[in-house]
Amino acid sequence: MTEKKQALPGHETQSDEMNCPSCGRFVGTANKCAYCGAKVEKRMSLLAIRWAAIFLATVGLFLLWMMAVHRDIPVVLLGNIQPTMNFGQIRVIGQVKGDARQNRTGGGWRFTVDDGTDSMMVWVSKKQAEELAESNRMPKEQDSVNFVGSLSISDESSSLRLLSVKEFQLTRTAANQVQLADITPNMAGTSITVAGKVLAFTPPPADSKRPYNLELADDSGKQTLTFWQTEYDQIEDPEALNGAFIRARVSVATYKDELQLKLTSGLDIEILEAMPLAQQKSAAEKAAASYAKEKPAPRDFSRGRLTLAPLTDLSDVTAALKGQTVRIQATIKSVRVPEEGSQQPFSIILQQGDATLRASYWSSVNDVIAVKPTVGTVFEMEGVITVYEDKPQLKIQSGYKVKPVRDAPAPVKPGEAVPISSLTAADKGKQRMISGTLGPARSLGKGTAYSITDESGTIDLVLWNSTVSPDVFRSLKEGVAVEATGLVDEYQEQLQLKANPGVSVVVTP
Amino acid sequence: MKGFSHFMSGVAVASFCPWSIDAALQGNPLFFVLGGACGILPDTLDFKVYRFFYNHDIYITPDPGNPDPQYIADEMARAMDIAVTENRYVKVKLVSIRLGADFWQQYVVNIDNDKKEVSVKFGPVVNTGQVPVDGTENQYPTVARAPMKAKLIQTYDAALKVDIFDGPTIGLAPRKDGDFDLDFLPWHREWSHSLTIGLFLGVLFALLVGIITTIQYGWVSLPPQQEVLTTWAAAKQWLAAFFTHYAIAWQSIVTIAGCYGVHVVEDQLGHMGSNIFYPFTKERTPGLKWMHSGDGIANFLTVWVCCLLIFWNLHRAMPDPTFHFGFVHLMMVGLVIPGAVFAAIRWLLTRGQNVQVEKGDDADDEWNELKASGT
Amino acid sequence: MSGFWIVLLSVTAGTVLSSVLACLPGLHVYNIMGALVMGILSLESMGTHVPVDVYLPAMTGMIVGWAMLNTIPAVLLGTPDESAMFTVMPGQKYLMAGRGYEGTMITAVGGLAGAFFIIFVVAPLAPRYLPVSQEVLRGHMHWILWVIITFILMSEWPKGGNRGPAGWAKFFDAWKTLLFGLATFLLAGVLGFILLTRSPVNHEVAFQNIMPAFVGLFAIPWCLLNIISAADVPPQRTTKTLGINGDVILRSVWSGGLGGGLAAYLPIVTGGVGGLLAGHATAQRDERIFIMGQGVSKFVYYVGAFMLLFVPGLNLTRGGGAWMIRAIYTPQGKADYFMILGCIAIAAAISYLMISPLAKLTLRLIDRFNYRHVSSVAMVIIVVMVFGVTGWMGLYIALVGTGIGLIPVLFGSRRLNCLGILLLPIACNMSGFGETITGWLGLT
Repeated sequence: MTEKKQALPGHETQSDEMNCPSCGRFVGTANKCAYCGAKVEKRMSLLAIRWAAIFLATVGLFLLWMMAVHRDIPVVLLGNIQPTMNFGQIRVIGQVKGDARQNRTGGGWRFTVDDGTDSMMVWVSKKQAEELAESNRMPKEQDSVNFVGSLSISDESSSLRLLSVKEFQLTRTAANQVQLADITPNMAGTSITVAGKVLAFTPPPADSKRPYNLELADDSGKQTLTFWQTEYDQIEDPEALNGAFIRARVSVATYKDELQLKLTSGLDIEILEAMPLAQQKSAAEKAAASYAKEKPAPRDFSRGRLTLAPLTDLSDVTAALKGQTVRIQATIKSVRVPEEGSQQPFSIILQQGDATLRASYWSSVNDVIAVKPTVGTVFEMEGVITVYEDKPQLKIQSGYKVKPVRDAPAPVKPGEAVPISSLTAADKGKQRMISGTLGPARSLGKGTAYSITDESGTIDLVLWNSTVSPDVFRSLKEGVAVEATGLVDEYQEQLQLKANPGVSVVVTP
Repeated sequence: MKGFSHFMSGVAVASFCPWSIDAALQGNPLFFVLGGACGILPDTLDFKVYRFFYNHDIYITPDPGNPDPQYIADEMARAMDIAVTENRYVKVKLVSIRLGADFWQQYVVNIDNDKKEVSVKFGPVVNTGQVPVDGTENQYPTVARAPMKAKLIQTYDAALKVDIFDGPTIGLAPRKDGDFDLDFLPWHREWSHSLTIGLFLGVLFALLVGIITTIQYGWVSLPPQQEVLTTWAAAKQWLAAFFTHYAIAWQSIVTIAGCYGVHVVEDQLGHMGSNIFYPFTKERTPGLKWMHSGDGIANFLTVWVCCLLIFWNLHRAMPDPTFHFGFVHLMMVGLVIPGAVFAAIRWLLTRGQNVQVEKGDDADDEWNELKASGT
Repeated sequence: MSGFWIVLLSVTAGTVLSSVLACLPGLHVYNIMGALVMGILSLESMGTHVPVDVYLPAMTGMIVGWAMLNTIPAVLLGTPDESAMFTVMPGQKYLMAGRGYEGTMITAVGGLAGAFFIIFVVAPLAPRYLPVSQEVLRGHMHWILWVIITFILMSEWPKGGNRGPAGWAKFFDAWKTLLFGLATFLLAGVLGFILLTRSPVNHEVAFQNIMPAFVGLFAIPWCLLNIISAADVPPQRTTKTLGINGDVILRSVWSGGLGGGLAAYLPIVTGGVGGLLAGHATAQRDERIFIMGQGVSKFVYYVGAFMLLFVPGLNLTRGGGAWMIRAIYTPQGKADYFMILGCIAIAAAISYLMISPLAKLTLRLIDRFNYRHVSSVAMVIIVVMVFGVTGWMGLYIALVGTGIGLIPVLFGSRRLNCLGILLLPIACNMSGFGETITGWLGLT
């Protein structure tokens, strides 16, 4: 019971191969009719492509895999990296700048490598970091590394992602040995070697996540080493620590404004027979010293480029220089630090005569600036000129290209020191000098406050990070006598003295 | 419900388990993957495995070159004859008719209990989207009829429309009163859509995980005892250690059973129902008839609400979020307001028009939706 | 010349150029953009600086124009040969019914609706809500990818097993296509591991590492099957009306916007995957909505992903275009954002106006020239481009990719499984065990 059928849409232009040659029914791609069992011939080109597909997908892929496995990843100098190399796999041979640090999100680690032509951040995943730590190959300052990484290049920053822990080669360099009393918060982020006698070894309470504390003493003083269960498990004979003489490589850090010496690997503790003498050097130190002899002269801060960019007057910097790299020396007029947690850049206004220029850089650049710019100081900076809203700006891409030329001149002292009790609300907005003894430091986030006491009274002395010279901070601590010059101000109905920019607080004998 | 709705429901259920999020933050996607996979697993077992092994008593295979509705009607009547005469369950397969890569000849089998006859008519040629091809609607005007020996009671509102991909199966079950029941897709949800099967699969998986854990980390070990414990205290300590050591195993049981079970619960909202406690129950329990399995709005809302619930659970698990919002806020921003805006725009665009929204047939809706969605 | 006119001229030039090039089958806008980036860098190295106001709008116009007009080759330049291929794509159904022009224009309406959706819905809401979702989803992207992979693999429907008695033969007949699908996914995944870990392509053009593989997986099979196709294009007719209304457009925007938006926002998820997920979620049965939704999805995916780079405060790089821009430029806040939105609007309008005459021209072309010859020319262009950028090694990778890309078409599985090239290695890396697998493969 059939009726006359019209051709279905598109079927009038289809090939006959879609139907069975015997019964005429639709078979599609099948080689055999499901209705009558007849063989359906397909054209040679189709059969060839089917077989070619299988062959290329299997044998072809296998051969490609063989090529990849036996390929040597090329060594590429960081200074030669171009944007077209984004996502490329390269081998880097260089030196580690600063100990590897954990990311704030806790998701992995990072370290900076310098191969003599430029430096770059290297990201290490959490799992890779665990494997490196297990084999004591976590990079530390001055270590030599040879590894394979995958490039991630963007306009503002480039980085590498570690591709293979197995191929990560590290040659450990002994850290400088430092006397315990000579360790200061300024060394934060570096690795040092300490030696001494263990006075006390305090484990944390059971079921607590607190660290182990190891009190160490040498001829100069005492310090506490801190480490956690992971590091404790790596120590060969932890029972023997108490009362022993040890040498350890530690990482200097600060925690709640207090100095902290962290042991990053239990394998970095060496138990000694006797207290090491100052003049005796360990084998590692001798090696480091001989390595130091073989090294060329210490580099200055102009890393990355072998030639400096031309020194340019600020007044000559215009939008026409867009894209060019320039070097300028100017006075820091203002510094704006990004808010905590925000992704804003650091922004600095530079001044030279009547000319001003905005310079900006990201926190990754700020991390490697040794001396931070402060108001009133003269700095040399090198960067690329960009244009924003028709105005030139200086974009700084390397923290190594930011260095002080000289501090701001000391401000003129407004006469003699006055008694603290003589300061009243009428003095608000006026420059005054006081002298006294510092109390304990209190962190203000972007600055520090000390109470300063003389025979007549006490007042708060406030020092802001962005304006006061870092040398000043380094010299201050509870109990020292100082002379401070600054502006009288009021906060929460209490008078305070805001220290002037630059070096406005000096320690008096 | 559609496969994707079940899948997302499974992922959403997994997101309520705190260990899922903890594991995910450690780089382990296991529980979320299990959630989605188990959410869709019952239908996968039926449509991609079991149906190919389900034996039929009669295969009705029309000839694509010579479509004959009388053959189909006669075969249907013969199947009913056998069911009545031999007083047994007869399984009939209605095979589809393919005419092209994108074309299928549709035919419809109707049951008329008043006249006690089965009628068959060939419909239009349809494409894989089940859209009729113009000009093919009345190609075969003949209606073929064959008498039935008894009445065929359809508890599930099935229109036996055969078109794309695989054709349906019907089961003819003789009743005590001489009539017989029509089971649509008797192999579907026969055993797979069962809470007990979900639990069973969870236990199986947990055993596998347990074996791997034991090989890798050894048996349960207790910390050195500092004091003598009572039997009960010792048992509690051992159980705590056991559940810690085999955490992934028991967490897998809960995740698999929960996510598999949510599929069963969702399908129970429809018409066909499921055999919920197989093997303890033998028949499908009819559904609540609250929705059709192919209802577009119901399915989309399920998917979207699941996404919002997952988002909410992830946010809840954050120790220190920068952005704070409550559940009601999330629902308003993510569901209510956009839904209201969409409905308002739709109303503006369609007022005064007679908008025909396609409603899938109930019986073959899920069947056809699953086939169409699988392309 | 003021900035306004520079931007306007640049976006117009980019749109027109890519709209014309989009008519060539197999050519992808990211290939052209890649060549453009290389040109910009070469000029800069020679001391000629190309202003941002020139290349940024031009690239925006290129992406918009291509997203709108690549419908033409997708619908009009490819005849499904039912003796060779298992499935007929939706656009091809229209072509085989003589309604190719109508199918193209319906898709174009979808693209225009997508432009409205991006500018009036996504653009104002993105700066407010995307940072929230970024924070919540941080650390969870890996399992989202795994869940997507699971659904892609589990939702594929067996195409055989419809005839014959029950048993293993029927089961294997059904699972043939599924196994080919799994094999495609795994083979593509291995290819992805190789290219992302130890690519044989020269590191100096590494930013186009994946390009030869994608060309092989998608573009070359398309051209090749056209060349050997034994089917001809039936006579086509143009129409003045499309039979759509506001409701159809709204529902298309709903499903296409969801799919394209997901693909634009989630890393590695492409338009095809987004479309699959949204299609399953919204399940619109009307074929016009399906076709138009594809137009919306494609537009929102390509253009939306590009736009995300410029959303202030988000710093999100999605899609090949955004990655290429990021290597040479960092977006500067709201000014750039509004400029890009303006460029998208202008480019969408220009490209939409161009699609009708270009579609008619293409129909005349295939009437006069056999579409197989057009596909041959396109394939030569593609091969020359791959060789020119990545050399012999790139060509070999394209060849291997072609083998893998032909499997789904010839053996009845989904083309989507080819996306295993990115999905599998990146999901593994995000979960932290990528290096374990590359270790097993001997690549690390």
